[in-house]
Amino acid sequence: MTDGVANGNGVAHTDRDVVLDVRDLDASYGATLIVRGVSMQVRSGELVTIIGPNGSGKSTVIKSIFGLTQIEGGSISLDGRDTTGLDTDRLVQLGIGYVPQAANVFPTLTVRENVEMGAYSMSGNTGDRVHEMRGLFPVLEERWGSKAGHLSGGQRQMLALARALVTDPKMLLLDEPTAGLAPQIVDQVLTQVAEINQRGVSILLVEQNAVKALERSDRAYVLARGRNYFEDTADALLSNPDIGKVFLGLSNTSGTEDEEDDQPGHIRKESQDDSGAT
Amino acid sequence: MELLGINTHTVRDAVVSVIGERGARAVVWTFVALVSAFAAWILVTRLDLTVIGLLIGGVYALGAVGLSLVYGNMHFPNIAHGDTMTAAAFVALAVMVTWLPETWSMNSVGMFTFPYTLFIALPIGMAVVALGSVLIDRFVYRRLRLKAAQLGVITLASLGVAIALRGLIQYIWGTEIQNYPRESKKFLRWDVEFLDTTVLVPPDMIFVFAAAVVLTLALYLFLNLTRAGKAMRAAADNEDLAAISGINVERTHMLTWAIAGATAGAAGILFAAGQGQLLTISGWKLMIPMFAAVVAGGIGNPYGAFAGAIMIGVIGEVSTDWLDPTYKPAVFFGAIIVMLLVRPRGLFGASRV
Repeated sequence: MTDGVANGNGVAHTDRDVVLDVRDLDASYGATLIVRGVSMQVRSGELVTIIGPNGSGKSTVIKSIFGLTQIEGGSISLDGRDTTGLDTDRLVQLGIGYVPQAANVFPTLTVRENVEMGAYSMSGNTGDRVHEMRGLFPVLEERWGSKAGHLSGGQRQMLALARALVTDPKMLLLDEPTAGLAPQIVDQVLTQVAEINQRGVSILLVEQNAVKALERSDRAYVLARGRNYFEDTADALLSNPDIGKVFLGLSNTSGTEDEEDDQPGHIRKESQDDSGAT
Repeated sequence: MELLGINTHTVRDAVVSVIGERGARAVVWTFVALVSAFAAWILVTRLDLTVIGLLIGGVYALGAVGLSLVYGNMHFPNIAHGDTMTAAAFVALAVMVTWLPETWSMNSVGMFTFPYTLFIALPIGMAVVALGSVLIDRFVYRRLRLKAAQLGVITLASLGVAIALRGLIQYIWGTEIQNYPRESKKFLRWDVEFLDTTVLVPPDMIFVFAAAVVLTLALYLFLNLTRAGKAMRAAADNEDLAAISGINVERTHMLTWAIAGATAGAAGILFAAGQGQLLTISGWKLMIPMFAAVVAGGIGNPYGAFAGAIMIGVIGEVSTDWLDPTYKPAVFFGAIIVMLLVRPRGLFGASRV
């Protein structure tokens, strides 16, 4: 079952239900090949999380989908339309929103101006959409006129979400929206992400707080060393003892630790047989 | 904080241990109050110098605003900014003296000394250096940028551009002092009876100051109210995110250079018109007070640079009460050093340092 994506069941490629389809992606960042033969799909209305140790290529997959890396092989399509290597401008117009991990707001611009800049590449009058974001994020409404640099970490992430949502994307790519936030703020941000998803936006989320993210996700992909390692529904992953121990930091009780480093050495061998993806 | 090799915290702790927290605070505030009172006393008793300094600050401001804008958006100090000003002044002079019929420049405007033709020469000069600045960026700075050159290298390139530009000006117009067409006018007199002083103001300086205020205000409105202006600020803040948002960052760079060039042009032309004469090093010499203004205003903050320029203008002028005017550059350098030691982020804090 975990091998479904890597083998490609053919039907999914033309399946209307699939919003984002990544196939056998090879991508490099600079001179090194970071992502090798990764495949993943996001279906309409799904919240899909990518987890994996540091340096496993999670962010690179997301960046590749948004045209920010050098794609060496494979294909990416949105709604069955090939988008491999398109400009970010074009991708935004086709309905992809992207929130980078760090430096995802303009600090000396006001909250309002930040949202306006999110809508920069949209044609026509965007005033209504900008105003809509104000209603959607009560936290931002209070700080509408203040500079983004004066916001708290959590408020900044909310602004980054609003900035990406203003273009009304059908597919939202989030690169660790909770990085560096306090635990209770992590909950707030992820809850907001889940709410956005419930409004019908498909989301592909890269997250270090794997447990908290999985609790709100439909499915998840586990990457290791730039390759597909495992794939399952979020619930199944949360109760999978091997994955839980290595990637979610769970031991006997369910903790909230981040997953760390590349311990998966021995587990990797075990599950290689049944995943076949590596 | 380390000041002149002394750790200020050590000094503070020593003082506090002797006279207590409240005592130390009282000493500091008394000192601040005395300095402020002294400054206020000088500014009032030498009101003539203060007023002139304020107006001279207007010229510095016009130049400093563009310098600060480039610093904020391109992240390097453009050493060629002063020579851009000179170039504009020479172009404007050529328009008034060579291209337009001489008789057109016979009559001066109202109470000012410059002729009506300045209003034709000013926009032409501004446009020429605005275009020139964009081209220089395209052929010099942009190439370095695309090679990811260090900012120090780009700064040195701007020094090269400065020298090349001055060489070009000297090649075309020679090295002698050039006279701007002008008609002598009376200074404006302001008798301040209760201080028993008379303030004499050359009328042109008021025009230059007003132009500086209008142009800075126009820049403010452009940067804050227009789509292109906001995109320019966004690109200055975070180029990667701007590019992701669909902002054409290279175009905002072009716009930055065009605006900086145009304001530098206005500064150079109005300065020359106010002085009545023009040297090939006129703009270069203004770089010191302009840099002082940029530092005082907080690097990369154009409105801060305006306020800083007024402050530097007044400090420079009032210093001539004790010091020979020849030492003005030293006063400006002193101001830069003191500002960097005491308030490295400028009077109002800066968007970036």
